[in-house]
Amino acid sequence: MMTSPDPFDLEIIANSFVAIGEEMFVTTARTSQSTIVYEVLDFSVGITDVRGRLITQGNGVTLFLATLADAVQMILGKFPIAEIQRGDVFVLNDPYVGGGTHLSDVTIAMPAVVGGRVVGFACNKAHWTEVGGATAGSVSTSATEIYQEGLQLPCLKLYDAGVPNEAVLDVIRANVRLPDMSMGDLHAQIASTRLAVERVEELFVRYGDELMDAAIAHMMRHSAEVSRAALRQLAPGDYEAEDTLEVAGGEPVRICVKVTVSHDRFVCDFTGTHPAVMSPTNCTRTGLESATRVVFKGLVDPHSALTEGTFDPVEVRCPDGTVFTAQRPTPVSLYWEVLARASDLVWHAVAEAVPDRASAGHFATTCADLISGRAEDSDELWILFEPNAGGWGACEGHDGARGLVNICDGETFMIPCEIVESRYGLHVEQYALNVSDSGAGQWRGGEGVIRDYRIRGRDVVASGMVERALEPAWGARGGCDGSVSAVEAIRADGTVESLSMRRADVESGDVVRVRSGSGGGWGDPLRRDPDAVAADVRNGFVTLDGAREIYGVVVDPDDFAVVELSPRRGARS
Amino acid sequence: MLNAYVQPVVARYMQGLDAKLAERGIDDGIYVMQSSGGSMTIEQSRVLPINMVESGPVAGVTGAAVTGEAIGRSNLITLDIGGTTAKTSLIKAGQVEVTTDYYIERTPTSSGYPIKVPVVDIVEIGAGGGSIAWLDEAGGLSVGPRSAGAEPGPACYGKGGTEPTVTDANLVVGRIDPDYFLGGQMEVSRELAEQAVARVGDRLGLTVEQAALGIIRLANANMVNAIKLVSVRRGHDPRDFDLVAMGGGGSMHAGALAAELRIPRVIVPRATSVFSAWGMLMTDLRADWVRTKVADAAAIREEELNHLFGELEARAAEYFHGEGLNGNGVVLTRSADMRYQGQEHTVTVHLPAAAGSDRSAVLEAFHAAHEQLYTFRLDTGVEIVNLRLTGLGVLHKPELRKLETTDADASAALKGRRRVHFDSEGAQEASIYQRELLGAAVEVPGPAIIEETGSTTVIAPSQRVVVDDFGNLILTMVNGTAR
Repeated sequence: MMTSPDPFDLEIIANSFVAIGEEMFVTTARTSQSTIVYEVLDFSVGITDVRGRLITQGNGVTLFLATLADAVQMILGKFPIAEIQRGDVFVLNDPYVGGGTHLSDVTIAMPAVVGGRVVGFACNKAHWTEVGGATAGSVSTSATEIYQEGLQLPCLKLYDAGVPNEAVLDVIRANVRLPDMSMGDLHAQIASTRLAVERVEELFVRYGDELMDAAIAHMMRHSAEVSRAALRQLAPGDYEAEDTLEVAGGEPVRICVKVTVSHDRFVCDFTGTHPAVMSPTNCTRTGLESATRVVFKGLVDPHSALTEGTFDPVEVRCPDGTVFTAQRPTPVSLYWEVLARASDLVWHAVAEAVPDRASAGHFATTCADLISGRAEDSDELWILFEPNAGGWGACEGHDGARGLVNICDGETFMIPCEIVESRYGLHVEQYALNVSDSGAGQWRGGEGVIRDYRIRGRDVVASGMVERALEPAWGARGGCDGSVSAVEAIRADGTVESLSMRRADVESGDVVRVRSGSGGGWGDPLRRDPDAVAADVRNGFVTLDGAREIYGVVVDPDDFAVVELSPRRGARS
Repeated sequence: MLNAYVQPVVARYMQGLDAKLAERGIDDGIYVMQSSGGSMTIEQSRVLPINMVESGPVAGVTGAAVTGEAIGRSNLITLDIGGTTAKTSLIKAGQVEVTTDYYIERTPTSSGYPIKVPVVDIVEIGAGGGSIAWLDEAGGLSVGPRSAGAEPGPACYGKGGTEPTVTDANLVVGRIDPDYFLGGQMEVSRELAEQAVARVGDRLGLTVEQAALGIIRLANANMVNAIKLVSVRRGHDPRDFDLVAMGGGGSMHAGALAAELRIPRVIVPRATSVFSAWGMLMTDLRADWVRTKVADAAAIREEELNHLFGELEARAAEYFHGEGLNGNGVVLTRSADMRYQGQEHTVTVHLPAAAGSDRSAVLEAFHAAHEQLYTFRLDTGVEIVNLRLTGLGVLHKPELRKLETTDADASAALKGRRRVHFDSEGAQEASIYQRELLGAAVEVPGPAIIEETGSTTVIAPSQRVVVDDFGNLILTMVNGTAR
């Protein structure tokens, strides 16, 4: 039995784990071959202990907060630990088990082995632009069962002690539309796990098993304590919210939650949510767990490093078979839209209870466009798939952020216009803020964006993955609702056709427009500082009419001075 | 856009500076340090001020390369420790690593702005003398990135700081002499340092000395991670490099970091605390030209490459001619940004003077560089993305002066003894020396401390220092074999 470990050693080891996570992240981004990985950074990396508990997760998409540890536990359940060797690489993308999300998100895991003993796993989950299936880009708005959404990889050993299983690799190559890109991303993922495994093994060799075990236990205990300490700051109680989920190819369905906050528990009960639908707008239980964890982390402590312990107080309750807990073979390729709405629901329930931490509702969709086609003079297929930024809700003391990705996309980026134009048959004709008078409030909701793509080339097909195309983001404490999002085709003759949750052929010369919504406002707009309203008018964010009608402030159109305040304001300030 | 943003302010400032200097009769040979490790004229700096980003620390890296060249050491890792940060960079075979992937204002909560100009590749972390050691609510321990700065500064300054900093910890364990802080020009209090460190020690149930050693160890571990970022993580073995210590705190921590990373040798240059200022004097006029050309690296014809580089070379000749430099005084180097087809990010590969002379060697250089950085190579085709031309115009520089050899040994510089704690090697009586009095070839065995105005070199019991001909302190392990 060792004497109690030196607290400084424990911190040094903890810092080393965090540094390894960051290194994995950078390596993946720099070697990947698809824009969704190297520009958007739609992936996540992490390290688990030998039992599959998360030790650290690098930056990346919050969508994957509940996924990496479950993947390792799936592997451990299928392959006896005694048979797992150095150089093994596991691959899985089954959405219903093992931390799966949708088939496009492929998880790679590699064991760290010291002295013949497995000491942990490095994992990398990334969005592949192509995993086959009925439509180019694999995610669709029209699938009715999982088999149309791509190739399924149900927890396989891809490398055996460093030797690739060429048969599996051949099957993957043969089933995806862009084999070089998918194989390139696979290599980037494996490279990052290989680096992490080496670093983790060095740590174990350097500090020894006993100290490492103590350090890992310390990290988990510490993050659980951080969560509980922050949870004690929230007012205990039951908080409820309900909303409608906009589903592909059907009428909106009911979603609801009851959040019970106590001093050491954060229980989210989604009972009452509509059964799964026969279109890809469902998510699996993993997605629901991640959705809840995102909000919890944001509420309790958004900045500290996370481990499995961070989420100790969180419990998710929901019967099987709802739109949040879909089961085989229900399609789930648009799971992230459903996940974002689940997060928004939990957030809505607790927002007004924690005004110093939560804002009004945000645009709550990726407002993603998926466009594929070929150049006029080439048979080569290109596929653009990109999430878009939108408007965030205002909060006490602050206007909402403009043009920021939604809550579940974490640290992802927009694809630069220059990259789009050089890689795809598209011309970016407009990239602007989506300005309107919606989202009004004492603090204003932030604006979304407008992005116009002029189509060039042939065989071009476009679709939009859009929630909140019907119901805008919610305002809070008397603030107004935001605006809705859309993806639409503007035909050469000027007619506008919605592509939100549907797919259509587009012709060279047409424009595909992405229009993301504003976030909700916070507080009564009649309480907004008149000078701030005048500045909004001067900067083009609020119209003269809006200033007068909504904010009760008459602004001079020439010098933007405040001319007159409506008597309606008097009663409120 | 960022250049345009800063240009009006900088242009006005540089113009004013130029005029004021001219009034004092200084109107020739004024150059401005650039992020790329070279210098530029004042006129150029008014056009492209963005090229000055981070140029201060960069000068230290240039200085290290020059020092290394003078003493025949070409593989170097620099370590620059100031009040709030530690910065490190790697020099391989005399070549300073330059990146065009630099972001300003990038933090964990801000995506920052890419500036795409050549910047010497420096990794910076929030660990310096003023970095604060603190415990969070749940008892988690950290050093930095929060810093006490100069006001109130470390607790020992007595200006109202009560939180323990790395400097306080160094004072508590005897590595800093409270009576010779900044050469004795500033008064610091050991009692205040001990009180501050005890705040952390008490909560952890440790003595003041244990807590101080822990704080130093944690700060060192952060610095080790930074040095690993520029070395191990880019495929370089630290054992093949010398560590060049600079900044006020560099020489205090360098010995311990070298031991940890098994770096065989530490170089502490003269005037180490203001070394980057000296480095600026040692730079050449530098300018960079880039031409984007996306092409299949194996297929593009040699004539086309030569033609494109020829255009850049003509622009370079014109530029240097305008600065009064021609022919032998100008060195042009070609390189190309390359990647595997389908990738976005590139790896920069140096090209021979005549492009295409041996294409397979260039391709192999790319594959090797990619594998070194990222552990794998692919069979996929290779693309050229940008052609780069770097021009160096050789400027007149001060000559490195050698120390006069004396017969005196170290005892001439001995100023006393005190108890210093060396962590795993325990607390020992260390000899204290005054650096300025140490002559060439003098040897100082550990445990010892060498003090000079502005910095302190710590020599552990298992280490020793030899003063070289140029006055650099060369620190090695007594039992180690320097390569």
